[in-house]
Formats: sequence, structure tokens, C-alpha cells
Amino acid sequence: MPDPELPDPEPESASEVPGPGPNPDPRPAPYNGPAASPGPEPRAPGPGPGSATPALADSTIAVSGATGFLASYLLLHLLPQGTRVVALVRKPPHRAMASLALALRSAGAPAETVQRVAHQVQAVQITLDRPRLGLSEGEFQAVADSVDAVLHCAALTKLHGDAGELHRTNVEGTRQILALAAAGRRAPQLFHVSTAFVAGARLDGVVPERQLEASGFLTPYEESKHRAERLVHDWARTQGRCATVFRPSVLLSDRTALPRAPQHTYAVLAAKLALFLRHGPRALLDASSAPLDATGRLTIRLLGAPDASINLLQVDAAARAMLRLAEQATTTDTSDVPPGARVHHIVHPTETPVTRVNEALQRSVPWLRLALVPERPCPSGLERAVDLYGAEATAYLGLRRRYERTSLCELERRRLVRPPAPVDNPYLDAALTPPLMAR
Amino acid sequence: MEARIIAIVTEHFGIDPAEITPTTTFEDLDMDSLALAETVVVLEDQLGLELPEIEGAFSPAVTLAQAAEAFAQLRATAAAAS
Ligand SMILES: NC(=O)c1ccc[n+]([C@@H]2O[C@H](COP(=O)([O-])OP(=O)(O)OC[C@H]3O[C@@H](n4cnc5c(N)ncnc54)[C@H](OP(=O)(O)O)[C@@H]3O)[C@@H](O)[C@H]2O)c1
Repeated sequence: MPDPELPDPEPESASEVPGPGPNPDPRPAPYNGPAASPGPEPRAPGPGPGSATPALADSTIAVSGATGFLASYLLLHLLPQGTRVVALVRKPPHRAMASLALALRSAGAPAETVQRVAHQVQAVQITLDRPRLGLSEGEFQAVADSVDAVLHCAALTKLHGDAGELHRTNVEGTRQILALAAAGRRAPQLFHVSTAFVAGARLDGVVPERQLEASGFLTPYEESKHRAERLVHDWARTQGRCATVFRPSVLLSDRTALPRAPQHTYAVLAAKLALFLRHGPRALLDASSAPLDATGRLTIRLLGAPDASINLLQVDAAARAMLRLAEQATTTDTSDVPPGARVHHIVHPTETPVTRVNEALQRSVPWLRLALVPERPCPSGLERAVDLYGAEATAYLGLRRRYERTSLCELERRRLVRPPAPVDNPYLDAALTPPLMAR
Repeated sequence: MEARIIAIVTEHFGIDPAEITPTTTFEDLDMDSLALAETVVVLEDQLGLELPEIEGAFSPAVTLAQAAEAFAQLRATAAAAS
């Protein structure tokens, strides 16, 4: 007999069944301008017995970064339940809606879910880092007043991006999103997507689920995300509000993304590697001081700790856990909870050794051997090129830290979510298949 | 060449042909630098031509007509050399 609380593993099919009866919505209709009007609001199906998160199902949520990789997996679960979404987007609304639908299809949404976009999602074009998100006072207030929650997913995710640009999008953008959550007359719940990498240069030990002091950073991205998270902690304290901070680790999918749809970090890495290495070992040889070995393999030494690990989590498991925590935050009586931001690591219980990732890459490029070395005298031209080219990944070859996981362990103990499956070799192989080779 | 390129791009990247004209840029098609590099590889494979570099071969602001022109020139140079 399955536990009745455990969400269905395929909610998009189960929750397509509308709820038991009409769902009178006592709240005002969601914000209706300045974007193209979606027309009369269709009646959302009731939460229904199969719904994983009934309180969210009955909500209107402002989602920034709604066209991105993570948000597409969150919407994959929210839309079939009837959640109304105000997508805060930077592209013109019609283009953003097309991108959002493409991202959803890429995440595996069935046609019925994609069709819901037209009825349940309203795109509002914003300028994230401008006061009032670049909206007029009236527009800004109308958006703020129309939502029960604000889910801030938007970020510039280039690890080595320009520090100024990272600051504008990630820090100033968060400041404007906080202003939106502060302005809403329903005192919307705030859900902020941070990252496990705000832990920065803490290479060892266990990272706690609470606000972290800045203690050095490996990339400008994580520094900007740390500053953004700090704004959220300060905001919750000074406004006397509760907020939720999600800190996901590296999110993976074993689906090959559709062309032009958002991809997970490691798929981008695999695609870049495939492009870089596509002419085979001999073409690269003159850039390399190391000869091919007897089996014709070329060794590339990567600077890192041979026992380094990285936390990899299936994006679908992350989305389920985040929504379950969001549901909990929405239904918890906060009257006797002290204000502040609650931090949840959205991470896998088991760290993945970097050598296992390298082995997976070697399986897709059989003539390649990646060696993790603590020192690398006389790097070859090829090795230097790989460092530069793969900078997104080579930043994280020296970590041995783990993450406190109290929140997720508690959900798993109460059987509100399933523990994520192991990130095994078949999963890694699928996640690291370069899209060009998969198509 | 233009028609070939449009056909390859629409087919390989699942783009509605109605969305594309010769003046469409890669940026209009929401291609980031990686998608653009992949596009160049696909075009090279399909056209049997090789550009001197992949990344940075075209900027996102380049139109499909300009890309076609670059490949046409490459073909002419290759033909003259052989
Ligand atoms: N994916 C991971 O492994 C991972 C791990 C830890 C934390 N995170 C965090 O999770 C969140 C979502 O990441 P993701 O992987 O989904 O990233 P993504 O696919 O790159 O999506 C980023 C989203 O943010 C939007 N955005 C970026 N800059 C913007 C701006 N200036 N104004 C308005 N919107 C802007 C993008 O809009 P466009 O579609 O218009 O570009 C897109 O919708 C981020 O906060 C990230 O830091 C992700």
C-alpha cells in the first residue's frame, strides 16, 4: 500500500485529472498588464487528491527566470496542478512565452501541460536590475498585489562572467525582487534560489544550512550569489518576514535538451568538450607535449585533488524537494516563528567523486584520458587551452566538502519525498552525452 | 546556399520555417554562443566545408544570408584551390 502522502512519481499524468469539483477562487484575478492579456482566466482545476502541493496549486506565483532550466522543471509540476504563474521575463512577452513552452517540452512536459501555458502563465517584461523592475509604479504594485508567492530563479549563471554584470543581475536583481515581495499586499511568500556554491572556498567539512560568512570564493558567480543571499537574510530580518532560501548543488538531467532549450551545466560542458575535441587526438597532438599512449589515448592533466568530489543532483528530484518545502512554508503558521530566512540545501545525500565524472567523459570520448593531479609541471598548450575553455568545470576539481541535509532528510523520513536515486554511471553517461552526438 | 542553410537550420534546430528569413540573425533564433558553435559544426558537416574557426566564426548578430555568403566564398576558394 503506497504511502498516501508520497507524491506521485509522474504527477504530470496523474494530476492531469481535474480535481473533484469547482474551485471558487476568492482572490482577485492575476495581474493583467502590461503584457498581452491572456484573455479570461480559465478555471484552474482544484488541488485534487493526487496533487503533491495543494497550497501552491491554489496560488498565483511570480516566477523570475521562468524560461530557465530549473524553473522549467518546477513549472512541469506546478502547471498541471493549476498554479497560476506571473512570469517575470526579459524578452518581449510573446518570445518569452515561446521560450518557456520550449523549455517545458524539453523538460519532458506532456502536450496537456504545455497547453496550460497559454491559460495559466502571464508574461510580464521586466528589467531585473532596475528600480521597480523597470515597471511603472502602478504596474509594479499591480504585479506585487496579484501574487501569493515570489519565486526568484533568475540569475546570470556564468561562473567566470564579468563581475559587474554578475553583480547587476544577481545582487541588484535580487534587491528588486525583494522590493516586489515587500510591496505585495498579500505579503507574498519569498522563495529565493541561491546555490550550494555560496560556500565558496570552504573546501572541506560540512556546510551548514544557515547564513554563511563570506570566506573567499572560487568564482565571481558564487560571490555574487552569496551577496544576493545575504540581502535575503537581511530583508527577512528587517522586514520581520519569513523567507525560504534554496541552495541547490549541480543539477543534472539525463534528458537530451531540445535544440535552443536551456541545458544543465554538465551538458554544456560535454557539448563544449565535444566541439573542442571533435577532430580527434592526432589533430590536437601538436598542442600537447604528451604523446599518445600505446592504446592511442591522449592524456590531459587537470589540476585538482585526486579525491575531489562534487554534489550532483537530478533536477527532477531537486524540483520535487523544493516544491515540497515551498508547500510546507506556505501552510506553516508563522505567527510564532521568528522572522528570518530558512536555508535548505537541495543536494544529493552522496557526493560524486570527480574521477567518476571524468570516467564518464572518457566513455564518450574513448581516446581521451583525464588525470586529476595536485601539481602539473610544464602544462602543455592543450592543457592550458582546456583550462581556459572548460573554466566552468575546472573551478570545482578541488572540493571535498559535504552539505548539511537536515531539511531534506526530514522530508524523506516523513516520506514526503523519495530520496534521490544514485547518480550512477548510466545516469552520468546520459547526462554527459553531447547533444550533437545524441541528435 | 541561403536556402540550404535555412533548410539545415530549420530541420536540425526544430525551428518553424515561418520564423526564418534570410535577414534573421542567430540572435533572433535565441542562439547563445554554444548553440551558435554547434550550428557552425552542423553546417560544416552538412555542407562539407570547414571554416577556419568554430567559436567566433559568426557573431550572434550575423544574418543567415551573411552566413550563407561566408560559406559560398569558402566553397569558391576551395574550388579554386583544387
Ligand atoms: N542549474 C544548476 O545546476 C544550479 C545549481 C545551483 C543553483 N542554481 C540557481 O538556480 C537558478 C536557476 O538556474 P538555471 O540553471 O535555471 O539557469 P538558466 O537556465 O541559465 O536560467 C536563468 C534564467 O534567468 C533569466 N535571467 C538571466 N539574466 C536575467 C536578467 N538580467 N533579467 C531577467 N532574467 C534573467 C534567464 O532568462 P532568459 O531565458 O531570457 O535568458 C533564465 O530564465 C539560478 O538562480 C541559479 O543560480 C542553479
